[in-house]
Amino acid sequence: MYLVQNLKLYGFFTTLLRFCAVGKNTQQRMVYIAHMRKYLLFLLKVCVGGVLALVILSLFSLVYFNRPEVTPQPDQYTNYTYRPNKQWSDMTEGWGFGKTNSLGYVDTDYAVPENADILVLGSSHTEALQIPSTENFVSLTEQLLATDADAQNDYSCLNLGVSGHTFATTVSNLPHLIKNFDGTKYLVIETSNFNYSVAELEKMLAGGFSVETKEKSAIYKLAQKIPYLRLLANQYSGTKNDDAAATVVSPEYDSQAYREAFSAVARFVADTAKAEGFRVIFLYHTQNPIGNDGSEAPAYINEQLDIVQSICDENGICLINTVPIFTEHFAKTFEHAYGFANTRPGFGHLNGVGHKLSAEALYEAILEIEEAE
Amino acid sequence: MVFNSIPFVFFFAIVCLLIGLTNLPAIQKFCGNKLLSVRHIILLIASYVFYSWWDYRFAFLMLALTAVAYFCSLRAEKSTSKIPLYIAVIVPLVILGIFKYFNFFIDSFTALFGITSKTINIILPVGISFYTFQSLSYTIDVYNKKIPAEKSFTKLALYISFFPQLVAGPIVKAGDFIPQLYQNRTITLKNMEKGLQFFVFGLFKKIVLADNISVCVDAVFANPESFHGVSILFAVIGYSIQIYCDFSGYSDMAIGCAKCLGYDLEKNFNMPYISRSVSEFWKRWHISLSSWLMEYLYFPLGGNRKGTVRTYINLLLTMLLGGLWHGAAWTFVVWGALHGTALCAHKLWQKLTGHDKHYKGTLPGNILSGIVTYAFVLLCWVFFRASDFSTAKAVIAGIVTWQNGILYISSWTVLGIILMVACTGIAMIRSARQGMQPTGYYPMVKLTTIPGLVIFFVVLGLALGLAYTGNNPFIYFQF
Repeated sequence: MYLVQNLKLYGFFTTLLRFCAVGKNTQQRMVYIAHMRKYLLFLLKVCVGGVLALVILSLFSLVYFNRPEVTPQPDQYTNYTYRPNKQWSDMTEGWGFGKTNSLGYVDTDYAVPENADILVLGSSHTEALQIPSTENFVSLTEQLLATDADAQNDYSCLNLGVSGHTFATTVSNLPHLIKNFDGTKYLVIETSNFNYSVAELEKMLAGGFSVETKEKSAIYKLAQKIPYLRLLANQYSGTKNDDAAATVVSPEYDSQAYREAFSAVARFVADTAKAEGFRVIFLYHTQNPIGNDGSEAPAYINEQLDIVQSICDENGICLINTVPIFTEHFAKTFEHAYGFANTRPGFGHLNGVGHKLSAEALYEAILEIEEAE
Repeated sequence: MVFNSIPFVFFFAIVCLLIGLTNLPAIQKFCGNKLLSVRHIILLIASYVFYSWWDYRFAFLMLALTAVAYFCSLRAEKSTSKIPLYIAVIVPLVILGIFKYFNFFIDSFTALFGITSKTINIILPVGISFYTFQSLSYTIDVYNKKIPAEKSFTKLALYISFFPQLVAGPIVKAGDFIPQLYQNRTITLKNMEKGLQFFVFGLFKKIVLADNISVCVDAVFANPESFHGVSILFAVIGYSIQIYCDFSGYSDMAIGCAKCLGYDLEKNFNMPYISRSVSEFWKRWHISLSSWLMEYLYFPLGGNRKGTVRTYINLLLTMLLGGLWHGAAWTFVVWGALHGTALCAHKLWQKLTGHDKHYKGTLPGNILSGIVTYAFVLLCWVFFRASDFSTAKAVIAGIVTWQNGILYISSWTVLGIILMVACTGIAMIRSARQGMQPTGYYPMVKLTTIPGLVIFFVVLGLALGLAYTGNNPFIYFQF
């Protein structure tokens, strides 16, 4: 308490100045050294206190927010992966936890992942860091296929979803993907948006979309190793829900031009997949904020979706539209497909209900395709 | 510039540095007996910069109000005429009326008589209600000879504009603050130790609890018809925690900032939700406003000196105006009227039962009255939060009818309830052990010890790590 009661903030510096100015007066110097020692001791305490606090906060962060470190993969089928075989936990939106697999994705391990029967590509909704890894729609679909007596196959479903990967990124990366997998039966592309301009659709075909994975600085990399600093980086980097942006029909929207451009994209996807014997499924969903009458209402009436449906039919692509499924479920149960107890209902990422409904829809679609064949 | 922003951190660091420099012997020697004035000028400039950050034009408005208060109070002190007092009271009230209530009255008038009329787009200056009240109380106190008129314009301007409490209180009385300006108050480690802890507690309340809970409250109040009765009830409870943490958090940060600079501001909240009556609630909630209203409105109206009926009328009128002070909307008037009615009912109850304000009651009776009071306060908060009467009606109907809908109990609200109950419990046990009245839970640690520093850094770290990062301004800025 002596320090607090008797010393002013400038004390250390003035004492240092006086010490320098006192010359060869040893006795006086000793007095100043004793003063400075107190200040240095205080600074040392601050440092020790800071380090101990960082340790405690990092222990807390291991539960609250412990996403695995990101490894850029510029030449892979996703632009980055997480560190393989790492435990993760995230309570910032919902509460998810699990372990990354040997490929660095949020999924279970398979003996030969490259031979997975169903590949699921998509955004943070597919990655699903908001719920336990065994409860995302990819895992649930696999469980449904494995347990249903009617199912002919015990398919392995590989989740390749990563945050920030939109439909555009997925299409851009498709050629990389195809050459890395063998024996795959289904390619599922999850998306919450088909609303692209003609220029963007053309860019997809040229492989022009990729998630930016700049080389990070040494300080950034070091900070990534400390869980609490990783939490702070996530808090203040402003990248939360980056792929959950609302879709808005452009006023300059030209349906004919869109039809032609999207047709080219769908043909490219279908042809690329067909060459390797993949069947393509688009799993479409969009956030449905609560309408004023209390029912769920789509954010906008998407004329494009009808165009997408007809083009998918033309190209042998199965389009699963979960919007009516989610809406019907909400009308019956008042349960939203998006949002969590620690966020806003109807907004953000797919929740447990959304994943369950998506898994059921995907499972049904696969069974239908199998039956048709 | 708000307290929980990066610009404020730099701003405050610069102010502290400048005030800290005046502690240097060389500077002190140079300033001589002008040292206090130098510090006051630094703080005054800082306060105007802080205020101008929103809109520099309103800094002139504040300066004008200060000038009116300064000249009128000097005049009022010297003469027996009431004219300086009238000017000093009417001018701020007219300004407040124009900026805050003009459109409200026009809208209400036109709605009443079915006339169509255009309103003027008037921007409400941040914190105008707070500094107007400070300016008013100063002049009235001078007129009533409670305090002498301040001769130094700088000191008076600093009293009205002191940045820690400028935009959302606490409303400081001149008699409490101006004498501090005559004392050698500056930055010391002791002040910093206490001030920083107050600030961090306030920061935690605001950015972790209030802001995160607001997500749930906003969602439910935006569309109450969609939610289940239990969800709405939790949202209303959540709002009671949100507004407490938001406002008391801001007050704590203001008290902390002022303390760092060497000044003491009075506590604005004292565990309001343990109140056993609405009268007690108003002694614990927004203490600076309720004492202002009592001293400058209720007492001048006659208080309880003019008979029972006048006492009730005075109470009702005070609370109606108190409600209107919070915002130019009829929902605030209803909120004030409900509180006023409850105060009258409590007074009547005291009269009928013969229980005065010193009556301690029994434990079951206290618990029951605490629950009833909290339930009533919750009901009032519905009107305070709702944007209009139809929303308030939908919220109340949703709870009463236990309507079916979305089941949504925010985990942040649950955390808020747990923390509130825990802190209240600790404070009550502590005060019971010490044989004192509970005065809130502010666990101050010694920042000169390693355990103290660890606790401080952990609380700060949690505040930053759990903060809501969306945009969510302080609720009381709008008032």
